[in-house]
Amino acid sequence: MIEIKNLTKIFKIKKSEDIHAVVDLSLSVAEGEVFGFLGPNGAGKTTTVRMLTSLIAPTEGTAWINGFKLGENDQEIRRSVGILTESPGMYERLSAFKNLSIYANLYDVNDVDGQVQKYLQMLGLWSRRDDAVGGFSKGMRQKLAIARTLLHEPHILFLDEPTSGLDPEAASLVRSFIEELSVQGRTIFMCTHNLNEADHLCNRIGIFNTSLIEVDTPANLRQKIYGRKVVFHLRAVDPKWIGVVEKIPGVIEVKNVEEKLVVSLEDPESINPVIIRDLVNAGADILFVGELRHSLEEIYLQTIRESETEKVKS
Amino acid sequence: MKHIRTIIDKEWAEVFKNRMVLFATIFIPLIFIVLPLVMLYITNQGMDDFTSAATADVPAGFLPACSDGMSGGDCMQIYVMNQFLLLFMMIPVIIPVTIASYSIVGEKATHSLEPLLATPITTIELLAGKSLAAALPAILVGWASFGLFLAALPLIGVSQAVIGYIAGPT
Ligand SMILES: Nc1ncnc2c1ncn2[C@@H]1O[C@H](COP(=O)(O)OP(=O)(O)OP(=O)(O)O)[C@@H](O)[C@H]1O
Ligand SMILES: [Mg+2]
Repeated sequence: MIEIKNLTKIFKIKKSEDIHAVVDLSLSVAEGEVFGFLGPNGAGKTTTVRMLTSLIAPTEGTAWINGFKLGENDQEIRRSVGILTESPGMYERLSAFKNLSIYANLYDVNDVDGQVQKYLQMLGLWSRRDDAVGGFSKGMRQKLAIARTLLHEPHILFLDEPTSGLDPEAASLVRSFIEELSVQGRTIFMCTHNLNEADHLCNRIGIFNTSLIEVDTPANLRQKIYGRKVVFHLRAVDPKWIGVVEKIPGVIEVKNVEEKLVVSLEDPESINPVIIRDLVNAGADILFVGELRHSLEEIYLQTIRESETEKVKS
Repeated sequence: MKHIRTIIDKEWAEVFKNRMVLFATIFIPLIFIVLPLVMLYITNQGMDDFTSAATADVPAGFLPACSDGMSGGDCMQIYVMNQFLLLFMMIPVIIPVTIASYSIVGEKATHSLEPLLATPITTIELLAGKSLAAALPAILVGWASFGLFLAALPLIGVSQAVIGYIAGPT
């Protein structure tokens, strides 16, 4: 469990203005949840993760990780979390096996060789275990870094852009790996720029730019920002049918887009059958009916834009 | 303790794969051994004409260091060696500085410090590990090269008196 309260980080830089990287962030992530932390470059995501893993001290506010308070039980926090840092940071001259066994020892893992072998195999690097990491591709390093994050079987994982720079296949492998970790009941806090990935993996999403703008499930974010829309594909659209649909209670707006009626409405589950009956009665040929899903990308862009225009106003 | 051992092990595995560091820990001490040996060898060849300590061209303040029965050549060698022994004192300085600076620059350049600091290791353990990793080889190489130097002295015909002086406390 992660409980964040009024977390703030201000970097003081000589001879220039202070950088407010994170301002008054309060948030809680439940046990077993996959939380997606989205935001533009420089939003303060990595800074947040660094504070939550007690790598840097907050300027103000605090957080409880697994019940341990930041700044008071840092040693316990480090023991119980795993962090995938933005850059893998491997010892280039050492072998993959050696890199992991160093960390397994530092995390006081009981069966060092066993754990190292388990995760090297799981991530498909076992056959390259004796090769120096300096010769590894970016994706292999990233996989090795993920293995390193898991050696001590942490309950809470902080993943800073786990799939950045990976080819589609490697990225998909990493994603299904994250899914599996979540099934095992681990709490995952991940920063990502890949919105489809966030949509697919995360139970809840926080859109963040120095401070938290929105936080909710992907489905609720869709509804909150766009309402719900249903598309009726017709053989041909007679303009007078728009009036027919608009009269139905609960319908907010009807648009005719390329022989499709796009209907904004509150509760499609109860109103859709009424719309279909009335359209058929009016003589329309309905080919398909489907819900219009906005991609998380549209939602994200919309949210960020709104927050920026608000900033300009204030 | 286990954390410190892990850090030392890691430092040695990583650092000694670096050519610069290997050069500093092996080649420089080697030069420090060979150079004074060559010097002694040469002085041994042409010093027979000095018969007493007084005739050697040694600063007056240094003369008490040469005991009465010593030949002028021996006294000269002792004087020269006194300067070279300083070089051996530098070995324990040069090696840890090379190792430590590489180890910190290396961690910084490869971004490996962040995951390292995220482990439960304490700052004291980390610093202790890094310092020991740098200091131990320096002490070892320092003694080993001085031992090699002493062992080579009789081979080039340096007199017992001079060897006794060099090996003795200074
Ligand atoms: N050590 C530091 N010293 C000074 N400023 C810093 C430091 N670390 C981060 N910052 C500043 O804090 C802000 C947030 O940076 P951060 O790395 O947290 O962004 P991010 O959300 O992770 O971005 P990205 O998506 O590019 O990874 C930036 O303006 C950055 O310049
Ligand atoms: Mg970042």
